[in-house]
Amino acid sequence: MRAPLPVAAPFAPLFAEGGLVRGRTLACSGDAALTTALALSSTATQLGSWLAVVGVPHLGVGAAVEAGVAVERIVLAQPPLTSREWVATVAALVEGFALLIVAPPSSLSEHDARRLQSRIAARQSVLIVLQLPAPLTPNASRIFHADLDVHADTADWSGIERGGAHITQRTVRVRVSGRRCASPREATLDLSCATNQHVS
Amino acid sequence: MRDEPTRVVVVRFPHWSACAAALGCSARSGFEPIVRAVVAHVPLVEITAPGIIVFATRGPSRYVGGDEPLAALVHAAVGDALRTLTTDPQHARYGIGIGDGRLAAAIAAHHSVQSAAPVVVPTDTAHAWLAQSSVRALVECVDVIGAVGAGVPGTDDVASYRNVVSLLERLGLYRFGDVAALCEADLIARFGAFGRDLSRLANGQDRHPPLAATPPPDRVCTRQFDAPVESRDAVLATVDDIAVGLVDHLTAHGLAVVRLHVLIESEHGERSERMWYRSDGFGVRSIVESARWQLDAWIQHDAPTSGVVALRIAPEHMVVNAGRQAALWGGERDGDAQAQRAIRRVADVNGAESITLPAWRGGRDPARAFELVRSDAVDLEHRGSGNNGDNGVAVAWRGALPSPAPALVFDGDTAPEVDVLDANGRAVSVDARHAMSSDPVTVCVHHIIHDVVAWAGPWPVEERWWDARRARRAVRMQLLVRERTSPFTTRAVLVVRERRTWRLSAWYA
Repeated sequence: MRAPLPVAAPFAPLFAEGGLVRGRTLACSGDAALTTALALSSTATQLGSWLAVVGVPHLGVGAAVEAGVAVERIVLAQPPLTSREWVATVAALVEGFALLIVAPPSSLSEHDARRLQSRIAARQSVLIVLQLPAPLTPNASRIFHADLDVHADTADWSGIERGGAHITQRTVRVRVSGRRCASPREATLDLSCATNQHVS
Repeated sequence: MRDEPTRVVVVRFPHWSACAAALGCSARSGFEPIVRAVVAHVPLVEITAPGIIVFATRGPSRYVGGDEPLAALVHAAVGDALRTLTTDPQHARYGIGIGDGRLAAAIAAHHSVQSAAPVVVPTDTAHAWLAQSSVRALVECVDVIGAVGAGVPGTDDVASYRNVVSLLERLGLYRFGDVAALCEADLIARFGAFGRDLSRLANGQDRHPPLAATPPPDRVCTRQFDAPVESRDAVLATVDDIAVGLVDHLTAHGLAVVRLHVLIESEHGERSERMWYRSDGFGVRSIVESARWQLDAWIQHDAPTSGVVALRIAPEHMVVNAGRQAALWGGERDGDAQAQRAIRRVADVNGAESITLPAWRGGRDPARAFELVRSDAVDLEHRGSGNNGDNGVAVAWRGALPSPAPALVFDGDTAPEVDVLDANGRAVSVDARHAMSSDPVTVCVHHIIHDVVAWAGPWPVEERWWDARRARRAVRMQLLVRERTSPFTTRAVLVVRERRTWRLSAWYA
């Protein structure tokens, strides 16, 4: 059993093992899902793991950099949207990537999702399944049988007023639950601080 | 072979990738007109990376009557080429230096950037000139002379040179003269393989010693096609084939090639030839990448009138291959090679454009600050380890969106249109003085109505105002919105108004 993939210090108390256990699937939901998924991946990429972001063509790379992800180890993939080809592509990526953030297409079949998860377990990678906010991409994230559910909602935006200033800080409430988690854990984090602490 | 440095000219743009971004083109294609301006005077130039051209003075100098006239000629040619690219040459500062060996010429070019005039180091004072130069020049000239320890590619160039320079300074060695005074054996004892390079550099020699062993036979690879080949991919497939054979052949003899001559010839006798340099040796991918760059430039600018009939790839300078070793910490890891294989496999199946890697280019628009480069145009062998100097140099850009950055960004015309409405249901507009017609109250994204909780802006965004064709004038506004149907989540979005239309520019997901 290899050691879990490390996460930034403020996130560590959310996981009983102190990091992301290899071979598992996480479902990431809530309005801060993508930012949280990137923040969870950051420390591992700094330590040399590669991250593939699949099916998120509009990823703001600036946000990934801000979250602390090592930009030279991010790869963005846009596989074909049919269930079989999508899974074949992601399965090929699993061979080389320790971390995958995926937004699955609605065509994905349950059988293919299972196949991919067993591939993840065999290769000891970590799969983060994104549930993007509704108007953007309706996707089939629930088809995966997640080991952990990470729900991240923005608790507070500070700095912005009616007509003035701009957003300076985002506080996010992260809740980790699921079948591999004895009791749900919750934390309120300031995302920009969470990663800044790590970088320094 | 004599162990004396070649007298070379270095043409250097210190921050080329940022310049290219400001000019609105990719680092390679933007650099091509400048290469062509130099090639008009000097037939064979060597390219290390976008932003750097090196060539030997010997022939050209004799032709134009000395080093100074040559430097002036090249300086003027590059200046003219720049003026066709941009009306404001302040965007791309460059330097031209002539000196004995790459390091001296690179330092001269660095001085030249500041003085905006070419710097020529005369041969008789070359040694003394280098001796009084600061060892800090190693950090500034990393892109010309290559990484620490040619045998261990992939170590972070600038950081490792900084470490070396800081160590040298702590040892009281501030100038190259101080280093040159030491015995080579002592330097090797202290710095390992790099100590030898350091000693050679400080003595004004080229970094790679001339090869003592006899080079293996049959090292020039020529391929004649039976019929002219029109397809660019077919030519590159052949290059790939040749490169595999060449690299295998040289590796079997314990050699690596650092300077490569590539010649492509069409049926009508048109030729494209170029020299390529890589301080840590060429691999198969980097040979193919160089050929791709050369071929693309040839097709785009010279438009050859017939297909390719001949290819010639000749290693011009070989070094003893110090081998590649997986680093214990830092440097190349096992995981890098695995990831590269996976990327290539996916690119083969789904096409190289389906898998992309981000490269920083700067800009005010969050969707354009990073360019997504096709996987086949990226040097994967040197990725991962933060090399290349171009990666990750995300410096603060004036006028860019303040932190936190949005996680989803939409570019230009692909951005979805949104309706920003005031209390009376009329569209909010912004006048020439960036004042809003009224306060925004509701926003309609994908036919879903959101109530506006707070907003910031509108901020004017003016990009490339110096270029009438590509100038962009827009305003952007940060909005905090709440969906009517689920009033408990507040989302932040960025909207941009350009050409009288509001579009969703970014989503804080």
